[in-house]
Amino acid sequence: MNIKLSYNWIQDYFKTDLSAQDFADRLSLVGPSIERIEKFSDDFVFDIEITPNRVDMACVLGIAQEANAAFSSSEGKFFNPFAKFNYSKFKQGFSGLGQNFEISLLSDGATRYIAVAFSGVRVGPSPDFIAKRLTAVGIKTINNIVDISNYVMLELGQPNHIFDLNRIAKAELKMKRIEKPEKITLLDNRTVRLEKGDLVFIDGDKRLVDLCGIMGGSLSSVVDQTETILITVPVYDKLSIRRTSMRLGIRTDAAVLFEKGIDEERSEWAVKLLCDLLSKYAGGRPASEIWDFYPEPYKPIKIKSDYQRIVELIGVKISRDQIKTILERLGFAVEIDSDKFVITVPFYRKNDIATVQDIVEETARVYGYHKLPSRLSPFVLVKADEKIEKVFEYQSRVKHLLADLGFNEVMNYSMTDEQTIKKFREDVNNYLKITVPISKRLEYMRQYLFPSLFDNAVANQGFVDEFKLFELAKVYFKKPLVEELRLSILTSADYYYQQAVVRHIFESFNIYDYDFVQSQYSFLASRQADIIVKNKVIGFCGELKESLPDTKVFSVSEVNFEALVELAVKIKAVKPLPKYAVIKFDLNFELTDNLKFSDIKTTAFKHLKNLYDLEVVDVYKNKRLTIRFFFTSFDKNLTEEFVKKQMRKLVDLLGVSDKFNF
Amino acid sequence: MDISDYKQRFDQRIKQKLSKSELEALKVEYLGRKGIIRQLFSTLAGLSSLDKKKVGQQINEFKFYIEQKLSELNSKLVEPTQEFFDPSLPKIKIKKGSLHPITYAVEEISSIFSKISFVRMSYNEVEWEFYSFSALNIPADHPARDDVETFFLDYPEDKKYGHLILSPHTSSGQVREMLRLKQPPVRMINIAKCYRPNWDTTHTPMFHQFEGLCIDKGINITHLKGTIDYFVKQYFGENRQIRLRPYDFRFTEPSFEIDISCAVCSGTGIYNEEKCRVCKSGWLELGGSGMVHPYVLRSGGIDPDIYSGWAFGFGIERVFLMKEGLQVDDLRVFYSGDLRFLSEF
Ligand SMILES: [Zn+2]
Repeated sequence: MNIKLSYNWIQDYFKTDLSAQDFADRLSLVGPSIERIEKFSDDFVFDIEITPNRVDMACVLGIAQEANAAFSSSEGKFFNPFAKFNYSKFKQGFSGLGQNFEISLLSDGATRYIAVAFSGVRVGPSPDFIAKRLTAVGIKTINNIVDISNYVMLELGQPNHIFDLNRIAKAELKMKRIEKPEKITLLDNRTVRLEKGDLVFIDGDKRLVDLCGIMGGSLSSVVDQTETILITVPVYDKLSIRRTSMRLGIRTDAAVLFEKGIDEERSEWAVKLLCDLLSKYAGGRPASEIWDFYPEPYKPIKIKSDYQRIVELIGVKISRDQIKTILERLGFAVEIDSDKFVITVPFYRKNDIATVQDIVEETARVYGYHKLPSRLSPFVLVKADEKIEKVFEYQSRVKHLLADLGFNEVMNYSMTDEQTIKKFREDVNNYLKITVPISKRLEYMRQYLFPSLFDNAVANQGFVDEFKLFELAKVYFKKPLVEELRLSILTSADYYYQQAVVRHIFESFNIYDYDFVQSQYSFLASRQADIIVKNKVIGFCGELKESLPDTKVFSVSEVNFEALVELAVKIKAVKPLPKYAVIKFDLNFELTDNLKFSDIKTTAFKHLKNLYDLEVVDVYKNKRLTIRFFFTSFDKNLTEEFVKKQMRKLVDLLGVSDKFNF
Repeated sequence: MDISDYKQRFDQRIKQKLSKSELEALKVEYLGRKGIIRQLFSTLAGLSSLDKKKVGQQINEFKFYIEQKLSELNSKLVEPTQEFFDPSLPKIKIKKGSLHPITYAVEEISSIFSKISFVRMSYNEVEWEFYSFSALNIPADHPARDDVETFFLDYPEDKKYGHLILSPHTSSGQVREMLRLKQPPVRMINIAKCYRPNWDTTHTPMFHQFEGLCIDKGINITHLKGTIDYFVKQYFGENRQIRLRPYDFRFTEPSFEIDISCAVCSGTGIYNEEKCRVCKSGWLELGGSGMVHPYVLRSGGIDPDIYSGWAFGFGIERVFLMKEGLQVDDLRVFYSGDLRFLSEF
């Protein structure tokens, strides 16, 4: 959260001659980060970032307390007017006052609640210094009562609320949780719908008079005629406040403070300051006793830690005395017995200090992180997961290979929409679904990458005349629950080009034992195949049924990349170079349903003696082709007759000998 | 006629500018089957054997002279009928591919950390609440665990691990890496996609982070500082400085926000006598880091009284843009698949 505070105001608690810029720069390195400084007449306004654990700093007093630690005593003097404040004595001053009111609370709704009535107040304008300071930090002045309430919140970080006691029916306040949806009109006249569980106060006529911790209701608010008020200083259950505030989108300063979890002790100072200011600037006087609900009073927290452990974790030997001084200036009490430290945590830090690591942080930040040396972490050998390492290596290789072939890499969201899933004839029930998606477009986890690539092509129509896209990303399955790394490629070319790219990848990974076998995916047109490597289907390849006006055909492939990498070989076994003459033999084949290229290749390598290699040298209409066979022996020169014999064997085995005559 | 006369006449003929066809004709006239050289040789028949040898040699020299001259002229010939040729014409296009900018950043980051013996790992993106939150000291009621901050998946809740979510940070890899190694030392760099329900010009619901984790005996704040300083100098440049500011994260204690000095104004906050537009008074926010919280070490089965460690998690989109000094008005362009943007890389 961010909070705006005035530098003059901070000076009430921390008197210093430092320039606003110096103060901000140096404080930011030690504690709260002052992100912006703006000049406001003779004052400066700081915009301060407060981390969630340090809500105690979200006020003038809190910043002054930090400044006390950040600066030396010669640079500034910290003054806490409440240091010697005695609450029980203060309370006694109200005894015997007779204004009646009744409050009932829910035990899970608040951890502390202080209330006191004031009478004879006169609503009017605020004194100048209050108006000016509030205006400086961007809070609109309303009247002295409301302004004082805000002023105390900013000075002590304690949200509070002032009711017009006469506008609360029967002077009864009853805390409750909303059971069925109800409407409330707030101070700023907006009406909101409350839902089950929201924390509110109702009055004696069961009217909603307050939306706890977020904003008061208009029914009981202070108006121009107000004379008797009920000052309340609550500490609400932080989760209830957060839930309601987030749902309604009403992010008042009070709500933001409450949901971070403010401490209960500072409520006492807040009541004191409210009473003082209301007496002085609104002409009010105490009318009731102080009503205080505080079921579990604070007990000081003590941390025992070892000096050696503290300096070991910081990495620099800061002296015992220096640690003590730093902690004391932050408000801790420190006892040292040789290496043993007993540290008492100030009440306003009870929610964030518990361990020696916390003490290390307090010490090191005030000592100065910039004073710590920089050391590389000691070198050690940690065993990598070899399988994962190999995947990373090949991931990089395939990406560069494809980019070198003219492909564009895209990264798409891992989520997709129902329409896309259905378009590619898949069942959404098998998909992992986000319970609260931010958009219908990102609702289901992808199980295929290629539909996203097709969407990319659609989106880029007109900018590009040739598509060569790829994506390497995970897909996510529900049954069973697994993630799979996939490589998908889309081109605006036909099946054969796509297949060539896939083969090129395989061969550059030294995978040669692959095959493409007719498949039946419903989202692909008839030219499609399962990609088989070492008898395992690791993906598919084919032409999409979908096309675009400018592009008649799109082909895609998608493979399980981890399975592919597992089969990849870094350096293939090198074929010995031929020693004797290589004899070439060209043969023309006509492919049929029973005679596929892969049949010829497999049979040839399996059965022909001295076959060194073969390659396709010509293809006509995807059906007739010329294959060149290379024969050689490592012992002797082969004869023409030997090669012919081998080739005759091949056509015999393939059952097509009747078509040849050689 | 003497051979020298022939030579003189030949020289006269080639003094004038000759076209290719004229040169061809000249070649036929002298060297052709019925050409002058042939005729000269035919005159040898009537000579004595001594003269035959002498004159024959002269004719041969003359023949060689002609051949040489003609070939010289031929090579100098500018052919006016030749096809038009512009060597600068880009007639054939070889399509240039591109890698996604994030790929470049990931590769560079991995290599910087591999030099100092950090192992690159990869963990699940669909993750259990346990690893993303509970094990990291983020209690069940923490705001980060709201469905407005984290994507939850519609999947049966696990008794031990809670709900299934999309990991909102790479820190879920911390405890997983501790459990993988069973005991320190740990030196990990985890790079992964992360997900959070924000979608505007400065946020995308999917983004990338890289997470550094180092656990060992005697690890302290100075090691965190030194390692991040090393990374910053390698990735951004030797003259960049870092600073640590106090911050608050549930899974580190102490926690820091890391800033790096601005390259535009050299860390002064002033550029061209005006306030630098790129940074906040000379510094840019890099990301969060801290000393691994004892609770987190315990979640990974490591005794915090013996071991300590540091961790950081930075956004890759962010460091990439900071390094390249790119002004991308709308971060969503990274994942829009817009080829006009992607082909720039
Ligand atoms: Zn700058």
